[in-house]
Amino acid sequence: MTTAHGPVEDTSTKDRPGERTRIVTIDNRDNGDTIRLRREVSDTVESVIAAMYEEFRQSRDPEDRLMCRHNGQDVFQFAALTLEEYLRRGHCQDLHWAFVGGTGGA
Amino acid sequence: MSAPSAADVEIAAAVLADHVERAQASEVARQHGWTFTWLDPLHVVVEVRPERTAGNGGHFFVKLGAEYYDLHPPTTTFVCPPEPGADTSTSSAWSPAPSDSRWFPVLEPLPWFAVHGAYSFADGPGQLVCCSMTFEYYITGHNPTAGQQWRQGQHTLVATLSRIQDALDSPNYRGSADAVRP
Repeated sequence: MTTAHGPVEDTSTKDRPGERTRIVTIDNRDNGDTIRLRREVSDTVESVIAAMYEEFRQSRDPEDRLMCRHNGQDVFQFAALTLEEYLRRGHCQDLHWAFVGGTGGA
Repeated sequence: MSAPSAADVEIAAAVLADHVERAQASEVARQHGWTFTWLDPLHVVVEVRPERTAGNGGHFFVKLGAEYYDLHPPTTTFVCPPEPGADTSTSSAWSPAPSDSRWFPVLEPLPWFAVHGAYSFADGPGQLVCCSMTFEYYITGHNPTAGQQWRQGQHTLVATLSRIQDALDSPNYRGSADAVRP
């Protein structure tokens, strides 16, 4: 499977309890691309964010938002946590995030 | 933006077709149930449904135009559907939604989105979907920051539709104008 920004990882292997890797799914609401990143649970959220920007071929802007798709909770604030810590603290259990760039209006 | 030049029609139509195809296949479109109706090579109407009214008949139609696409965002208008029996595939059959109609959404303005029924354009009042992901935003004296601006290659019409969807799903959405302002 590929997106306009290159290949994304195989998702055929389902996540299992105790597994050392998890798949993070990120919808880009600026262009409709969805990427899936398989990461070690010991990886930090910050490293996933960095990989996301690399996949999207963008540099980070202060007005960007990254949210848990399920409840809208900001993901950037948890950058220092590992994925394991992020999940253990009850955040975004399906690891499905939504990215949206800055927007002006009103 | 000062006096933008219209896009080459053939290129704009090809880019729009590609982006609509990608949008239709996207997770975001499936999540929100967007449906696309082509009017002509430069115009498409998208049906969007506020999350809170999904399944209850609440929906709106957004006409997107590629007159300046994709160097600039799509032209964007909430429109009324054609009268029963009319040809739905002609652009002129989808008229801009009056600000008191069932097809015009009422929203308390958000910092990043608003809909104005009669905004002052150079050629007279008209509807403005006030968001940096619409073309009209840039010809009405707004000054987005660098991070808010439309960027060719990063944004597609999905960005426009996502902002509209997010606004309709926000607590600031009040309903359709005929229900809120009877």
